[in-house]
Amino acid sequence: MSRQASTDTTPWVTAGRRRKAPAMFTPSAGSPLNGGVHVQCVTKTFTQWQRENAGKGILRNLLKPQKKTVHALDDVSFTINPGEFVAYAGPNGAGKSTTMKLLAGMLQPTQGTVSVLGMSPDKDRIRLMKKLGVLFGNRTELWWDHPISQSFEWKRVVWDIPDDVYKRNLEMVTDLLDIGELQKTFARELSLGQRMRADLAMMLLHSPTLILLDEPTLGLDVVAKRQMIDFLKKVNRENGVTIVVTSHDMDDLEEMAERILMISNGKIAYDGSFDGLRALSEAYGIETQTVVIKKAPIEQVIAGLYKAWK
Amino acid sequence: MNRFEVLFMLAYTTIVTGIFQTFCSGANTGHISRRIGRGQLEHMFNQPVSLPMQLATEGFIPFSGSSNLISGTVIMAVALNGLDIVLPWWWVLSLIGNLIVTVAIILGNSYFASSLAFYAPVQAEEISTFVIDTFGHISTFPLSGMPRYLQFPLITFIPTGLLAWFPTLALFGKAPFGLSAWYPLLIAIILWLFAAHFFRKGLHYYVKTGINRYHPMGHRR
Ligand SMILES: Nc1ncnc2c1ncn2[C@@H]1O[C@H](COP(=O)(O)OP(=O)(O)OP(=O)(O)O)[C@@H](O)[C@H]1O
Ligand SMILES: [Mg+2]
Repeated sequence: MSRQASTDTTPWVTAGRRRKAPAMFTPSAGSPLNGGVHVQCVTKTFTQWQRENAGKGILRNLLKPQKKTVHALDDVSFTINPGEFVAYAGPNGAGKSTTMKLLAGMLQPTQGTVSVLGMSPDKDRIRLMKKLGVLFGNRTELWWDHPISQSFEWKRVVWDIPDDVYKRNLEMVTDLLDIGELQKTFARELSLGQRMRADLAMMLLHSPTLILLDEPTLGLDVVAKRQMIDFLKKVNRENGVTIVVTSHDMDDLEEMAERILMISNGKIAYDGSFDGLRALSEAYGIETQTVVIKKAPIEQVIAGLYKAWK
Repeated sequence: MNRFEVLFMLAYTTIVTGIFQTFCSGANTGHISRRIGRGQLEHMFNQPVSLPMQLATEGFIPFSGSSNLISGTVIMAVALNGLDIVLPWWWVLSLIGNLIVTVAIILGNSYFASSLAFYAPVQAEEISTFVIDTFGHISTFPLSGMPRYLQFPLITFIPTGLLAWFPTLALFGKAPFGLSAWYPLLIAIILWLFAAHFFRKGLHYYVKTGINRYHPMGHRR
């Protein structure tokens, strides 16, 4: 198997030149199998036990427990090329987190194949994890009862990050995510937004070439969200890091990503640009209002105020 | 068994508990069913290190874990003094070897039982605690006065007798049932083979079904 995807240990910060992200859907020089993400005919079914809490239902549970089969993913295929920034959206329970877990090797598909950076998340787990960054908005990777700097140090040792790479990445994230002040603070004493910034910083210390973010903006205020969005855009546009992000905030997604992959009931419902999505809604006869904003968008107003209060 | 032998046995148990606490209780590595039941293994999958290596290195807590180790050593010194026997220098090595094997048996039991948590995360979340504590309590009884039909199962099917009683006798050259002093090692190896087999099977089941019961309690604390 080609190791093309795993040759650079150079920190991204040295890539001062603006590396242009590959245009959408144009296959990269190599086969997508070598980098990026390749999901082929993936099905993931879950079994859910059904319980009733009243009357005859209780007896029925005991005698004949009811099972429900959920098709979290139903024959899903897609390819994400190296350097792309993809928004992964869909209603609650559509299968977004399930997809993320499959890509991160936390789950295995019922059927189909998953290839991430040219590797199998199952068979090449250790090699893959040196190149992959994973963050679930509702979990933390930090050591709870230790200062942030100690978690970073742990990351350096476990990921075996070369000293110069570590130093430069640390400088970059400290600067861009504004976490200089937080480093001596215990993780448990941070607010949600501060913790997310520290988590994001730690995720990037080993220069991952692909990062998977599941609802990273969950619970963040407008300023923190802006900061995260700007940071992710920078990392993607300037360092060529491939990013897949889920969120329920479509404005955020549109601002970050060039391509949106929509999933509904475990099937890919749309794959393309945001403008294409608008055109599609017209084709469906969905009436949209073009809002001519006379007033300043309230988000900007609030963001301005928050900054002033700081 | 005379009373200093019994004291020695209790010291042995205390030291074993101390070793377990020092090397295996950090981040719940000895109580692995907690991590399984709380869906925390998923964090481990994202580290570029093999799972056994992660487990072996995360458990060490030298300061908060070593109190039993120290007090056990003191009690053992008192017992040996009272026994009034001359022991060759290599006896210390066989003592250390026995202690390691005993801890290995406890870990084997814990991981063997914890494999259940892959299938029943809710019910089996605390199964490792249950197994370790129950075995620990039973193991402190000197079995010497018991009938043979009780002694035998307790060093074979439910090997609590191997956690303190058997090694104590073996260390003084009086291993019961004419068994070799190496017998606990054999049981430890068998137990680890079983535990590894069922653990791997459970892990496979886990990544196929997904537990979806994530709870951060005790994670990286
Ligand atoms: N381990 C599991 N066991 C049983 N069912 C599961 C499991 N994990 C997910 N599901 C089911 O699979 C479906 C997809 O869940 P998933 O978490 O991927 O949705 P999602 O798109 O991330 O939704 P949300 O926007 O709410 O986060 C849901 O119907 C859910 O109930
Ligand atoms: Mg989700």
